[in-house]
Amino acid sequence: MTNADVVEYDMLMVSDLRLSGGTTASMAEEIRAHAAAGYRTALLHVNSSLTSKTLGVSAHLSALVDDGLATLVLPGDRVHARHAIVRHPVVAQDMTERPATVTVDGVSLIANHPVYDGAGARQYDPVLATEKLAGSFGQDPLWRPIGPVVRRQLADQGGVALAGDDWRNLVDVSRWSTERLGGPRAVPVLGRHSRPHWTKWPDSAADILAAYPDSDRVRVRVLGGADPVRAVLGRVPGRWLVEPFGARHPAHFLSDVDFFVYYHHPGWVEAFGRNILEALASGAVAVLPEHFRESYGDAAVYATPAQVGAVVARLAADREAYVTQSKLGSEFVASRYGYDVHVDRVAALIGPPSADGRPRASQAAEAAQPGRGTTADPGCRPNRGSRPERASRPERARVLFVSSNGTGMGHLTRLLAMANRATERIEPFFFSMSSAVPVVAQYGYNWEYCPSRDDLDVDAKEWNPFFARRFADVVRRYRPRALVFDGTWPYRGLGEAKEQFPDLLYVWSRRAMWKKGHRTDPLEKSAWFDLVIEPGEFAAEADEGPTTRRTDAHKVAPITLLDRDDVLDREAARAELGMAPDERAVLVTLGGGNANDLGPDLEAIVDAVGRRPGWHVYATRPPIARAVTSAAGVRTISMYPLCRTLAAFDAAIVACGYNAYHESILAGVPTVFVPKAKVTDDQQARARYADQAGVGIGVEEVTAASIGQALDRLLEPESAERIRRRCLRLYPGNGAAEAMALVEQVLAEKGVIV
Amino acid sequence: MAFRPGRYFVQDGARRLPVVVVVATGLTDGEAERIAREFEYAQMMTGSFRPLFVIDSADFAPFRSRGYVVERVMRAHELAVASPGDSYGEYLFSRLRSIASDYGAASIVPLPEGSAATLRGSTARLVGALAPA
Repeated sequence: MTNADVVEYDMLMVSDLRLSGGTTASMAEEIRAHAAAGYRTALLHVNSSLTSKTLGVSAHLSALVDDGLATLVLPGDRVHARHAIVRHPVVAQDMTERPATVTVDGVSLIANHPVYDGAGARQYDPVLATEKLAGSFGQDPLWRPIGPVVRRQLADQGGVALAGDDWRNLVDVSRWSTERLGGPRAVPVLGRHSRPHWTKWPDSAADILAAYPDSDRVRVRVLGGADPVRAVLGRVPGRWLVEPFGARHPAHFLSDVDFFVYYHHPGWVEAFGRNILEALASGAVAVLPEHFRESYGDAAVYATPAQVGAVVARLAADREAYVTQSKLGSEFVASRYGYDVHVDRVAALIGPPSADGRPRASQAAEAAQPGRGTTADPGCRPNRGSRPERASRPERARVLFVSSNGTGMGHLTRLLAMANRATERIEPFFFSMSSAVPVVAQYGYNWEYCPSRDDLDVDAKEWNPFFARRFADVVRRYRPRALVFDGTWPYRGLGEAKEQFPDLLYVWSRRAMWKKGHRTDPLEKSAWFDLVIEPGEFAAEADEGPTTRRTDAHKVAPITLLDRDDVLDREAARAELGMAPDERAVLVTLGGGNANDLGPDLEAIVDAVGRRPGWHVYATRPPIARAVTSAAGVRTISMYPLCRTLAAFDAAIVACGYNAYHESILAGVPTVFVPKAKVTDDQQARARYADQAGVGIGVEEVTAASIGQALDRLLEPESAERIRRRCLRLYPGNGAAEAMALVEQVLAEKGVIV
Repeated sequence: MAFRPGRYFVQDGARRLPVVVVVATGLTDGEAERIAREFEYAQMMTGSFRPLFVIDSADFAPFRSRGYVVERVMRAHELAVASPGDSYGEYLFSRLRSIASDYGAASIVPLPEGSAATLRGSTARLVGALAPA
């Protein structure tokens, strides 16, 4: 092949790329280190006997390939690399085909697996592995053990060239570490993560339950499944919280763990234990069997399974000792297993990154471009295609604002009102079943959307588990410290998630004004919540619903997106809407819903207004509308929030949903209040109360006659002015700031923010 | 999942039609309407699938107005802020995998960026060549 056909790389990493555990996790760290230093990496897959499953490339590596930090070599690709790092001796032994189009200048074989297991059974033949690699690449490999256990076995075996130093696995401590200065949690969390393989667990029930108690005194969390435990105990202890392999990134998992407790099968010889390295990097205190002392020294604490309880109790009671041990572990990792160690050894192998005419930091630079996963943080290193960056985690506490769908925007708007009044300590993030949720982006918030039950038109039996999975996924990915739910009925998935995420604080924004006689079982879900806030109702005196008998909520004033000072005066509002200064205009806003529901009402209104010569009808099209509702002679406008330009109108005809009702009174616009039939919302009571209080005219139903009569009353000059004055005098103000302050108070009390 | 099949499909069995997940990310203004229309045409012509659209914009209306379910994924720059260091490729893959699983998808059709302008009903119709469930 000609040189022009060959693609040049600095490093060729060879292994069974399907492996999901430490082998590919370690490769991924090395690839990131390469990219940061400017070395170009290619990946070559070998089908080995280590797995017989039909699998794709490990997620550890596929993300890096997607993000351009490494290139996957396909059969037939012509590749030359200055050095090949082959990982896992079994992979080398299984190389049956010579990669004819791949050439390298040198080969290292990383011995990350012992030659013999605990029972003395040989796992591979080093001499055969050497021969296979030599036949494949034309170079004898230099064996590089990853620790003293493997080194000893290879030295005893003989017949292979051994490097003088061990090949230490890498961990970027800054990406894994969690601040531990506060010590362990009040109920210490013991955790472990590993592949779901029987070799990774003890084989005796006594040892399992001693190391990982089924007790209220500690909380046990497992990432990677617990089927081997079931095989030994006949069950998985009920108090354990078990997440399947791959449920989330180990760094996230370890941030929720105080003590990393790792005991495995006596027949398993752990070559090194990458999971231990990761745990130490995270700052969790590692409690391990004695045989790991040779590898980790003072970085961990050593005990038998029966002694684990005493070790945990001692360190949990002594914060200073815990923090000291935590630092010992993380500093141990940082000093011996950081990226610079690897870059130095690569440079010793092949010198500096090669120059081939392409910009040298090509992979790193490409990875650092917008859209490659980097942040706006100038201090953030190039994206390594991994899970969320621990070091660049916002200092602010992320609060997830969760709104149900509804047919209007009341839920979402109340949450937005609160989010807009959060202090700098809070980062709002929206997760909503409302298709109007994109509006939050106007305020600079991130959002995720989940189709509601109504959007899907399915029953609760199908939707509930769907929502539960989606919600859990959002919490795992975005890691909020608290959620604020605004909705009448807290979804089952929220309750189920409490077990998975016990540290997540729950707040319920629970609107009142339920219909009299409404079922009360949703109210029992208040027990899920650390705080219940009741957004105020202007018509509270007319509330006959079941929430009036509750004493579990902090009540605030009505919550609106805007304050009175944010409402434009008539002249400014008309200029903003492009309306003539002297036109006579009535605004119609009938809330969300579909065209079939709203069309007849709009026609009746247009008919009524049409009998008044010279009047123009404007109708809002809410973001949530599934289709455009229109009628002849109606000018459609899009207004959010409604009340900012409400003063532009001489009158309004408004459905009595929470938002429109309160915003109309806030803005002091003479309004005909039209109640819509709802399952929970007592809009009839709001309409009647507005009429009684003299802040508007309420109608019972929408007909041309009823609207006409209401307009007659409303538009008498003295009547309109009287209504305006009463609105201004009686409206109690905006409760949004107080509501948000209550949320932040709870967060502060729980130590989430200071 | 027996989710809504589209505004013209009210017959029994429509909610058991195979699910085709159409990945329509990177759409520019007006393209969502075009995509929705073409797939509605394809669905009407074949009567053999339920589309579910995955977009990264906020333009839900063209799909919702036709009675289709729409899911939304973040754009790369949004994810970079919301979850720094997270691989966008991995995020997208993971979301699509969840969507496919949650809805019981029979197939996933990624539309290359820019293809909305040239997508014709006869091409979209090919997704309806699925055998009945």
